Amino acid sequence: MKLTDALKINQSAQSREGHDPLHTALCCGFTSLQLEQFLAAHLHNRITDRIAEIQPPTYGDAIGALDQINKDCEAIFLIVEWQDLDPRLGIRQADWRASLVGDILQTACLRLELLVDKLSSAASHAPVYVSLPQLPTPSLLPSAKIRQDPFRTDLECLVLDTCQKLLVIQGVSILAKESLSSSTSAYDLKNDIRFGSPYSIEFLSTLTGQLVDLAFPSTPPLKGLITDLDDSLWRGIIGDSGVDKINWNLDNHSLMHAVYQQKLQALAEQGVLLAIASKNDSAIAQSGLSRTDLRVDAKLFFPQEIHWGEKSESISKILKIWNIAADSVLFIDDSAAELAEVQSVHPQILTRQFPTKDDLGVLELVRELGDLFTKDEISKEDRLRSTSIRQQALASEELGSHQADPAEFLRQLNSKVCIEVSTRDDPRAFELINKTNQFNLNGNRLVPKEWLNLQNDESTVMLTVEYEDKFGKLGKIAVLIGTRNGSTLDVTSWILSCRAFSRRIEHLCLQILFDQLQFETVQLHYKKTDRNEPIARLIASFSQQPLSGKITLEKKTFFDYCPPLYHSLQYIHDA
Amino acid sequence: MMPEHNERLITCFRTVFPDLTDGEIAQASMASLAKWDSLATVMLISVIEEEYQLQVADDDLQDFVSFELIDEILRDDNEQT
Repeated sequence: MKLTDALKINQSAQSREGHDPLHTALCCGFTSLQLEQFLAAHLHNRITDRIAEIQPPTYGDAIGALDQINKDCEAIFLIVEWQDLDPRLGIRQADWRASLVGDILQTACLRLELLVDKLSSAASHAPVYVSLPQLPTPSLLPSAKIRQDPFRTDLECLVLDTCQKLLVIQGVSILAKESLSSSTSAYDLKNDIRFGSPYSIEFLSTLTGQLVDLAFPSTPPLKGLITDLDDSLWRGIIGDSGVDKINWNLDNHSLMHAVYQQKLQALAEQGVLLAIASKNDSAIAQSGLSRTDLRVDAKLFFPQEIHWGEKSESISKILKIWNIAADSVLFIDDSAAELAEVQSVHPQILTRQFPTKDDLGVLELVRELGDLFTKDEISKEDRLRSTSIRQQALASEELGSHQADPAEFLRQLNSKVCIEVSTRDDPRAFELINKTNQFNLNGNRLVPKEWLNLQNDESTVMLTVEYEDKFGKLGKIAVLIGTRNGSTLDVTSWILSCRAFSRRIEHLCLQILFDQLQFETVQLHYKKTDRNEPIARLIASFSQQPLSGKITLEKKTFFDYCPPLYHSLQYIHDA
Repeated sequence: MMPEHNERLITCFRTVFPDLTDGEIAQASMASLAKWDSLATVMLISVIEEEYQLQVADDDLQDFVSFELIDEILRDDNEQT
């Protein structure tokens, strides 16, 4: 982005009206005029319906500025450079006498300790996105350019040590230095001398763009990956050459297929769903998947759509079993024609052509998979997901055989539900609210600041639900959040994972509100979205009111219409 | 018709001072325009350097105080190159 573009974007954003401003703060120790413009422009590009208001930094004190953040701030951007650790490390106040080495290191150490302290405090109010020194480490010792000197080593160790401490502070995210390493012109001496800003204009744009990516990712991580087999998972056409001739090794110059397989294994261990869509004879393909030298456990692929039908049909079946939308899925195939056929039916699906015989291309693809599927945290629910989908498929089959008497099916499930009422921070609950679409009261998403505010508000009531039955554990699958208003609960968020549908868990949530928490009335802040038909059906089963705005549900009405529940309940109330 | 050189400079000024008309831009100076403070100068220099793909010489910075003077600096620079 050019500075001129940034200025134009920000000027045009001023016409956005009728929405809350996006309050953010910028903390850095140098003149930040261009930095502010780029940051605002990237924010405006990412969040298209709000005006970014940036609390400007206190000149000369990036770390001290953390004390002065406004309370309504929703995100803090902190940029630390070497001169913030000791001004003598910058060009304007440079003092490179070797005799100062010890003193400078001591100052830097104290400043970094202060940084950890201030950041811990600031992050309890709003999430902080940090860029640690990006410029080359300054050297004070007269060593040859190519030799690592002890001063630089000590300085870099101090920063790395601080980075480790910051990484465990909740609410702090640190920009990976590697993400900016391709930017060759980070430093601008002229800018530094004239305006006191050490970064080049190009680097300012890149840096602020990545900080905004860190704070407000453009797309949530994908959930599932569907792969082809021949010339993708392995080199060769198994139906033509036979099981012994397909390969993924050095001898056949096909090692990158092994790298791809290993990446799939790693993704599955993070909770990414894997499936196969292959035009093949099923028995022959299975012989390939049974080879013991495969670098990915073939059992992780579920479902496996291996037949001669259209791949778009296979994708439809897989999406139905996974019960996720096409825009959460990546399809990989070596054939451009197959990719096009799939996209003609599923335009939302992301596709990549497997670059067979292009080793560098495969390496780039594997790296991209890391970006597309990476999550901040991998929860136990992520690890359970693949297993629970198989169990769900089994349960669906069984439910199909109990169509005449679903109550009998529910009775035989031996379901155990743990409901916890607590406002402590729960990353899984936050994640569920921000990704669940179908059983979602209003589609409202929460930013980290709103999430923090809810936890700190004494009138907040938050229920989380964990579920397991004879088919296995589903983990945490439901969250309900409301505000206590006397004997009424105003429910502003309510979601239930689609994996847990048809278990009457939603009814149990309402029962807890009326029985255990003793509310007389529940007001559901409902809003129709493109996908939340399942919750609309539930509300319609209790209420004759038009489905819009606040829908009131009285205790008596609920119990008049509530079907029998068969869960074994563990109830935890964290007062 | 305005010379092309002038139009480019007006575009730069319009980016930094979007409320000014072209006529006001041609007359603009630090003395006459309250919005044109030292921070606006920094922004103006960066925008001009980006637009003209040049680095303003340190000796010229003191003359970045009016549209007319900046125009002159850029013309001189153009003639020299």
